[in-house]
Amino acid sequence: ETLVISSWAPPTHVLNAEAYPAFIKLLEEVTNGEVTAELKLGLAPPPAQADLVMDGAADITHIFHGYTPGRYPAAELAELPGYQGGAEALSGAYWRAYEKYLKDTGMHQEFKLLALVAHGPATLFSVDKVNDLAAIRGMKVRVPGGVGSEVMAELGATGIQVPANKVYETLSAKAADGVTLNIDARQGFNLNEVAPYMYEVPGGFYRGSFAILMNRAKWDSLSPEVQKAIDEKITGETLSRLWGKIWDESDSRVHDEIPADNLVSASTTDVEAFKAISDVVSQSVFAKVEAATGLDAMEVRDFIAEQTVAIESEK
Amino acid sequence: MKVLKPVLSLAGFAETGAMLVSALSLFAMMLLTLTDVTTRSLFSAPVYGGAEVTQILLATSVFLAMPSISLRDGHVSVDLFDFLFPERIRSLRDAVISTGVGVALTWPAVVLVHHAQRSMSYNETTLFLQIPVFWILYLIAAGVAASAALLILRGLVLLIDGPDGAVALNDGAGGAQS
Amino acid sequence: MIEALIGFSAVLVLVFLRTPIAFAMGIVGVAGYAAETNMTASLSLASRIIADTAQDYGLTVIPLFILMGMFVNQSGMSTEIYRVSHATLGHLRGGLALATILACGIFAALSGSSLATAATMSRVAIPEMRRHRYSDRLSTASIAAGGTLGILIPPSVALIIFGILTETSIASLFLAGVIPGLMGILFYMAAVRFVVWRDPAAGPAGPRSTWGERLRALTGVWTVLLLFVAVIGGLYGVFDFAPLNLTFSPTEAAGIGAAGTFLIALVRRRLTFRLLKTALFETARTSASLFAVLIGAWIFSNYINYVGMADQLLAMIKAADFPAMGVIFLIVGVYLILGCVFESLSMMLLTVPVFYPLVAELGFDLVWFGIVVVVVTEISLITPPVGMNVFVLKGIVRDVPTAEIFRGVTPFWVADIARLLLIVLIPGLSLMLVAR
Ligand code: NA
Ligand code: NA
Repeated sequence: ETLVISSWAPPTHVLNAEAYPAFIKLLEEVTNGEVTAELKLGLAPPPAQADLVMDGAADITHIFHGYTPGRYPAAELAELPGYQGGAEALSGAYWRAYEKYLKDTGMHQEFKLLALVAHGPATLFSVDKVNDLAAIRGMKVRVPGGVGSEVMAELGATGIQVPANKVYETLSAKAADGVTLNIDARQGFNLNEVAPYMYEVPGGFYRGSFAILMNRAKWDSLSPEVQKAIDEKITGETLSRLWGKIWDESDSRVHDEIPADNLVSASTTDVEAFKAISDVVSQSVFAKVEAATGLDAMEVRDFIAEQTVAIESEK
Repeated sequence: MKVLKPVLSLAGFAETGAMLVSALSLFAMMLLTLTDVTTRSLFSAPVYGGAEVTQILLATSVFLAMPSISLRDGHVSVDLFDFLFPERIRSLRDAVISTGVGVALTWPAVVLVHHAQRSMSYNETTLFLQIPVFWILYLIAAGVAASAALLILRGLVLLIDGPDGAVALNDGAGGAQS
Repeated sequence: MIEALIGFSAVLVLVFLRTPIAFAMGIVGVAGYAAETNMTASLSLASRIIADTAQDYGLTVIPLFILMGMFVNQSGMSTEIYRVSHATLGHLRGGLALATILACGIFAALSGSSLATAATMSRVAIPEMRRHRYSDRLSTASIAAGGTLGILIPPSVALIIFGILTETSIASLFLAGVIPGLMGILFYMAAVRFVVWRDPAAGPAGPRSTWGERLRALTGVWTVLLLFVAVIGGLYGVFDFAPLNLTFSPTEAAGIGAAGTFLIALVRRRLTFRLLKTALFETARTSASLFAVLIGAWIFSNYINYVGMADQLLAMIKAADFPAMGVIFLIVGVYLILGCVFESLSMMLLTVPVFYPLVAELGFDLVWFGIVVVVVTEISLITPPVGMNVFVLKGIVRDVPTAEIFRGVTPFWVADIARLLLIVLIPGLSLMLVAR
């Protein structure tokens, strides 16, 4: 059985170059070669991917929750700034929170959910050097949707909304002064050419939330043995952390390549100032999530934070 | 033709209405881009949600002009091999193709309605202005459905009136230029 | 591979039965994808493509540039462009034909369409050339050929569509078209000189303009220059200085161009409410037909992508140890043959989804390939038996037989082939202006 994976990231992006191949390798291993998968790029734009898999035009995809505002309110909890840990730790914690809280809200119940992933701390890449938090006020920043958009709005930036694959062109046309993305996006989207400077806060401006989804009927069509093997050895925390780990490694490789002159880390006062902003955004997200799902949002956030630290320390 | 006359005049009326909205959307799109660039340069503040509005205007402009070109043979096509067909056969061929394509097009129209309903159930909105996405999908579905209906109508006119029908229909034509 | 070939043949059969190209590609794409997966999946994907294409911000360039072209036609700028070209070159042997080529090149810098360039310039240039007893062959052919520059010299609807289909930067494609476009002007001028060298009576020299006349003519085109600088210059950052700090995206450049031309036409009192309505309606209809074809091409190209045609072709080429440049020459050969019978845009939309993944995998620059495709498309516009630019001329100059125009076009066609060879063999001609 060959499953079809639809991916919307650029061909050289770490997800296509490393994360999916690692997943396919795992799939072949645990099913003794009975199930494999192939990657199809660019079948449809990013926001269409979930529907694509739901209708069976592809079997598996990853979606970015922020592209479809309003549809996955609980996902914003994983995107909040301030979690202390890399993508692997947060993704593992995210999955644990799913098992404990989010599952009951019916999140992704129409799919076979394979993993939940949160990328590393998002930073600000800019055309001109940004030295402090105050400089962000008035900037035109390409925002991703979800928490990242709210944080930038709170910082006083004007949000520019274009899909991720148009980021390069938007910056080179000076339609935006900067973009907020996770670190390895610098390489994935060739940002070093158009937005060479980076400003970072500890824990990031936000963490992007993703899900790896599989078509329900396709899953049901697999033999019970294969399902069992996949569920025991891939689905859930394993795959979530595997992707997180690959992403962490890619982030740190790219971080090392950035010239010191191009990199600014937030000062102590700015870290404090950002904490206040992050609290404002968190409160608004809590209210939104509670209204939409009935969850005790702060409890979930605290659980994710605690599990992130736990996984980070046991690594 | 007699039977179709009321249908045709109704279609022509709806076509004109749709074209007016389409033209206005196009003009608004031009003015919005101008405003956006001006305020961006002078006040360093682009129009809030400008790109979203532009996208909606684009969908409106394009999909409300689609029915008109469907009725009046405005789609890009190759008439290179027309000389192989006698005139009467030619209009029969065009009638069959137009009807067939129209019938086929009802399918995505229905699927688009499903997508719109689905989007409504997800509470999907645009990022900045929080405009419900299902409205846009319904509008596109309507444009596709109207195009399907007019392609079928064109097929019927060609079937009943032959080549004269084509001449009558194409009076308001305007196709692609490259 | 075999699936893709069946699909492609099915599209051709439908197209020859005069099915609109959009629907031929869309129906075959949906059916093919359904055969690989299932009907629900295939229709869902097709519907998503319809909905997403309709709202694609990057595609707003298409209606906006077309609208700009409509307003340019109504604003009377073509007359001024012709006047200045005439004042500069009219005194040479074949000078009016040379001026026509130059005017077409300048007009092409405002208009994205070859047919519009040919149609507009013929209304201005044909009466002048007839008055000076130019042969019908030379006068019609110089416009038919010069008009093709409309899709090579930026802005260009053909390059925009190539950019969208292949996800290549439109700004880079526009820039890459400049030198091949200027080469086009020079090569066509050489063709004119060749014609009058063989037959001096075909294009007698006109009276020499005084410097005063030339200067006056030049001041007449300042709006044209202003527009070009604002639109194309803006795209490449000529306003990127304080306090403006403006660089346009292609969409913005198109919007500024349309709005600017609208204002010019308005100020000159060229624009009646009726003309405005015509311009908007025609633009909306033309855009709708282009969007329909784009959606169809996208659905079809998704199917071709799904069955992995490019990979298989590539494997075959590698296995046969076939040189990469040989592949390009084969592709160009296919285009020249298709160019005999196809209308330009149809040819691009049918073939680019099939060819570009292969060309990219072979390691060629897609910007360069875009220019090659547009130049062969230009050639198709004047290649018999179906040369759309020739037909446009025929529509306006009704008393010249089509065959006569095609005969006159021959030297220009030869010049085009020479230019095509240079562009294919020396990618630098296209790429040298494009920053990497
Ligand atoms: Na042009
Ligand atoms: Na031709």
